[in-house]
Amino acid sequence: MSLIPGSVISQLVDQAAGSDPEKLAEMEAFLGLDRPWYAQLGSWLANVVQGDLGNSWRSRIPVADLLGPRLMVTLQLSAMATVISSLVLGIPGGLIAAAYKSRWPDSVVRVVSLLALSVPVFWMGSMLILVFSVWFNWSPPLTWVSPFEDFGANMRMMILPAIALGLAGAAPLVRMTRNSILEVMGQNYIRTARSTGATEGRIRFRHALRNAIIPVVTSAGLQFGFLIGGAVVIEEVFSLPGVGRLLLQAISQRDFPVVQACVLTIGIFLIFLNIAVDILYAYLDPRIKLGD
Amino acid sequence: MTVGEILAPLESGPPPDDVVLDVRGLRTQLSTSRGANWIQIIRDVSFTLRRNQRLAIVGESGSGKSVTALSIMRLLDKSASEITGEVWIGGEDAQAMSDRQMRRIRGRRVAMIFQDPMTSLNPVKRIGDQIVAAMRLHSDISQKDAMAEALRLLKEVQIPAPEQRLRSYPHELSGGMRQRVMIALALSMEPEVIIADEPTTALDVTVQAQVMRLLKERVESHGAATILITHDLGLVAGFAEFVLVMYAGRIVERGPIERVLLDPAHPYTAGLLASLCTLDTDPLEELPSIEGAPPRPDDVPSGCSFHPRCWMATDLCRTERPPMVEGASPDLGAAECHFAWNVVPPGAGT
Repeated sequence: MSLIPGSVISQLVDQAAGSDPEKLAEMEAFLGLDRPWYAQLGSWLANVVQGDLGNSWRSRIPVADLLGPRLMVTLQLSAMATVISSLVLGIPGGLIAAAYKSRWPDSVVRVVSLLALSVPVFWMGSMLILVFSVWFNWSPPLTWVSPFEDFGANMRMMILPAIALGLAGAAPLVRMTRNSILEVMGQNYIRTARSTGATEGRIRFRHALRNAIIPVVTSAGLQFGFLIGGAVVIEEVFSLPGVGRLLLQAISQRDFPVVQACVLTIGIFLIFLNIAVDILYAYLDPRIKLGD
Repeated sequence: MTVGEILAPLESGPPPDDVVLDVRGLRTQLSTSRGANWIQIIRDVSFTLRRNQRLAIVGESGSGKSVTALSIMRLLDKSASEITGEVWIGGEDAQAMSDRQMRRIRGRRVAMIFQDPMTSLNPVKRIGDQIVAAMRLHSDISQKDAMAEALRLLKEVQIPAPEQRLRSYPHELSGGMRQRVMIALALSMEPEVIIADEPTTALDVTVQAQVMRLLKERVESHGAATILITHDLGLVAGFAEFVLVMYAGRIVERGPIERVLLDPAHPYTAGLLASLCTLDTDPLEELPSIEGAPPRPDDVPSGCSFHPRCWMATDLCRTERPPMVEGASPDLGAAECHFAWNVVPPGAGT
């Protein structure tokens, strides 16, 4: 980021006063920008370890206060998108495709998922807005409300971005689920289940799904990370006050403390996500034990 | 009732009540590439199994033993297999049944024990739950009673610490223990017929003997007829009362176990027996073996399919398929050979 031309100084100063070189140097020293980048990073890290994310250079508000409410929005968006991409679209889509392998439902699911995969997230978002506002004359509310305040309004605001994001994430999950189910259906224990007289539906849901879901969970976990990337874009399209939008804003304003805090938060979040996936593994597959 | 009657295929219509499984003119084709490239695997297999009988189907790999079992159970992939012939189970032709009717037959009337115990149990379900689920498919027994019954069955198949094993996952058990669980699973549905497809092939020799003894005891006490599918004549001798010998998708010899082992009527059976290792075998001498390999199912020789490997083959064998020749008394079974009942062992001169 240091390589990007322009700095927060020129932006701050342009608005305030003229370009007095002395004043500029003074501000640079005040923000620590006169020190080499590694020194800046070092002192930032030292502060972070003590729980101090610093203040925004631009607005002077503590970064933690900026980030807190926005984190909530992004988490909600990603969580909803994950639920939509895996539970609503991905896994059922994969199940349908596998059950009707090489017949028309399979083809439909595969073509649709390929399309969803090929379309960029921002375009999907714009199209959803377009379709809903122009054709159905319905548009999401303009200001974001916490789901704890007004759940209905919150959902109206969040559902379209979550769908836009979820569609993109669903495509690989559909394919993964389909292939995983088909592979499991060829296993010996499925033949055993058939030999006991179990129905196809029972075999699919009771015997195959839990085995097939294990690789899909990994994939969904990784998807979640990808969705956060998508969230940055989609928040901008739907003007949601999330971490992604904050990050974009901070980058364009060269607001280093905010940028660093956003990246750090997303990083920590991904680590927790991976841990959660590992724990879920042990639950799904008894052959994996935690602790030994 | 004579042995000949027991083994000879019945003519038509439903079989008598004591016949639990009657296979007539079974032919199975498999497709290697979805609906194309059909290969005839089973070419005319007929046999009759009565209540409490223990039958063995013996043959080399690729002779069609397992496909015979899967055809009877209709467990082959529908789009890649074509089965003709009749399979009478409990007074009805299973080949003519709907899928739904067939599901009620599976497990309840005919249960299967598969070759590979390591992969034949669902890895993410507890043993007890798997047995209970199978039981409850076929009866209205409550979850609790079914679990108690599963525990009793685990005890019956001599699994140590059965209470704990009920809650174990398959990966926590050894191969021999898993095969005992498979036996318990098959018994839990109280079938009339149990088809055991190479049940001990994946196990150590010592464990093999235990599992076979257990299987024999259990099927006897439960009054189930059994079909043991194996390539191991040694196992057959200790287990079965009757034997079918399969070669290239056909039954080439059938008869009571003592007669077949002591006085084989088909050269192929004689060859298999000659290649067995016994206590009298000179350890320094190479065991005789049948030369060549079984034919590929898509390239079965004309006439008698065994003739290229047969030391007794003549021009007749090359051109004409031999008839099924009954023994002097119907009790002795029959063999499909031009020289049936006059077999010289391999290496005894031509």
